[in-house]
Amino acid sequence: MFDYFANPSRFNRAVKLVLPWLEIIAFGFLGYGLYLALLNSPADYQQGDAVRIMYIHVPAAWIALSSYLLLGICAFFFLIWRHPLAEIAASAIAPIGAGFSALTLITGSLWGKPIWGVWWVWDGRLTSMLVLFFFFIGYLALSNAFDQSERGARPAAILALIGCINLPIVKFSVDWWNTLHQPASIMRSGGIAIDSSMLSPLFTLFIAFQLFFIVIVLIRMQTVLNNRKIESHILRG
Amino acid sequence: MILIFWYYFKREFEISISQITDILSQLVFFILIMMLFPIALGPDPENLKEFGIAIIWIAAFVSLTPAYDRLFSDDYIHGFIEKSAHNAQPLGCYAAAKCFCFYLITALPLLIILPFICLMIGINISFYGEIALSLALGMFGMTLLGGIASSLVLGARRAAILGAVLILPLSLPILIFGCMSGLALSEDLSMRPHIFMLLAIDLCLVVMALPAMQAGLKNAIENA
Repeated sequence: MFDYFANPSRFNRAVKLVLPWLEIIAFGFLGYGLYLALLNSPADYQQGDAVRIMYIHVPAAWIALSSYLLLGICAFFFLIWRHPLAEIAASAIAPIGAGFSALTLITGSLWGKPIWGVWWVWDGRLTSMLVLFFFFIGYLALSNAFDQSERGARPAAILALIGCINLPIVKFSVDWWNTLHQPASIMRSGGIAIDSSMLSPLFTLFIAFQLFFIVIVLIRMQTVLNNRKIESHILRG
Repeated sequence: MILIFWYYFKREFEISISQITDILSQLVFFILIMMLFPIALGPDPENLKEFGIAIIWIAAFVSLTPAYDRLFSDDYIHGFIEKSAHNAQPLGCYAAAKCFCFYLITALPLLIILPFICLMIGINISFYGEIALSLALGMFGMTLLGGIASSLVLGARRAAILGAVLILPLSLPILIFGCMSGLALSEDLSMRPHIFMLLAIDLCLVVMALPAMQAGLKNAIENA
C-alpha cells in the first residue's frame, strides 16, 4: 500500500472514492457525540455543567499530541524514502495540529476560569501543550520561510523529527517542574477513573474528532495535489 | 576524521580569535541583559538573591540566541560549505568543529565574568564552581540546538528571528534542569541529579545534532 500510493493520481482517485463516506460518518459521530455530551450526560457533582467542556478539551488534546507524532512519522518517510505523499501529508497536518492545540489551550483556559478561578496557571501540562503549539508554529514558520516554496520541506521535516524526539523530554521535564493539573484519568496504571456515563460521550467525540482530522487532512492533501497539477499545466502551457 | 576536525577547528579558531571585538561585545551583551533585571525587579537584594540563578540562566540564553545565526551563515554566503562538500569532506565533522569552537570562544567566556555577576546580584561566591559547571553543560546543549537551528534556516528570510523561534521551545529542558540545580544549591541539597540530567540531555543532543546539522547543511547547499 505504501508503494501503491506513491503515485499521486492513484491516491487522488482513492480519496475521491472514500472522502464522501468518511465525511458522512465523521459528522454523524460528531452530531451523536455532541448530543450525548451536551444533553444526555450527567453534570459533575462538583464542577456542574462546566465539566462538559471536557468533551471538547480532552479529544482536542489527544488529537493535537497524536498529530505531532504523525507529523514526525510523515517527516521520517519523506526524509528516508522521499515519499512524495509524505511531504504533502506533513504540510497538511501541521496547521491542523496547531489548530487543535490552540483549541485545547482555549477550551482549557475557559474551563480553568470557573474551576480554578484563573484563566491560566503555569502548570506542567498547560506549559507542555503551549510548547507543543510552538513546535507546530516553528514547523509552519520554517516550511514557509523560503522564497521557493519547495525549499522549506526538507528543513521542516528535519525539525519535525527533532521535535518528535524532544517532545517526551520536554514533556517530562516540564511535568517534573510543576504540576497542578488533574492527573490523567483515562490512560493511567490503576484503571479508568471516569464514570461510564461520561466516558461514552468522550469516546464518541474522540472518534468524531479523529475522523474529522482525517477528513480535513485528506482534503488539504487533495488541494495541494491539484494545485501542483495546475502549476505543471501552466508551465507546460 | 580527527585530522579533518582539527583542520576545521583550527581555521575557525583563528578566524574567531582575530575578531576579538565580537567576543567582547558578546560579553557586554550578557552583562547588559543581566543588568536589566535589577532595574526591572527593583534593587531589593533579597529579591535579587532569590531570582539570581534564574537571572544568570536567562541572560546566558538570551545573549547567546542571536549569536547562533552567525554560526554557518558567513561560510554559507562565502561558499566555504559548498567547497568542503565538493572536496568530499564530511559536513558533520565541519559542523561539529564549528559548534565546538563557538562553544569555546563565545559561550565559555561568560564563565570568566560569572564571579563578578554573582557578586553583583548577591549569590554566594562559594557556589561559583557548581553554577559554572551547570552553566557550562547547559550552554553546550544550547550550542548544539543553535547549530541545528542555524543549519536549518540557512537561506531563509529573516533567518535570525526564525532560528530563535525554533531553538527556545526545544531548550526548555536545559533551562528547567539548570535552574533546578541552582535551586538545589540554595536549599543545601545535592545538585548531582540535575547535573546528570543536563549531561544526559547534552549527550542525546550530540547524537541528534550531528546528523541533523549534516542534513541541514547538505540541503542548504543543494538548493543554493
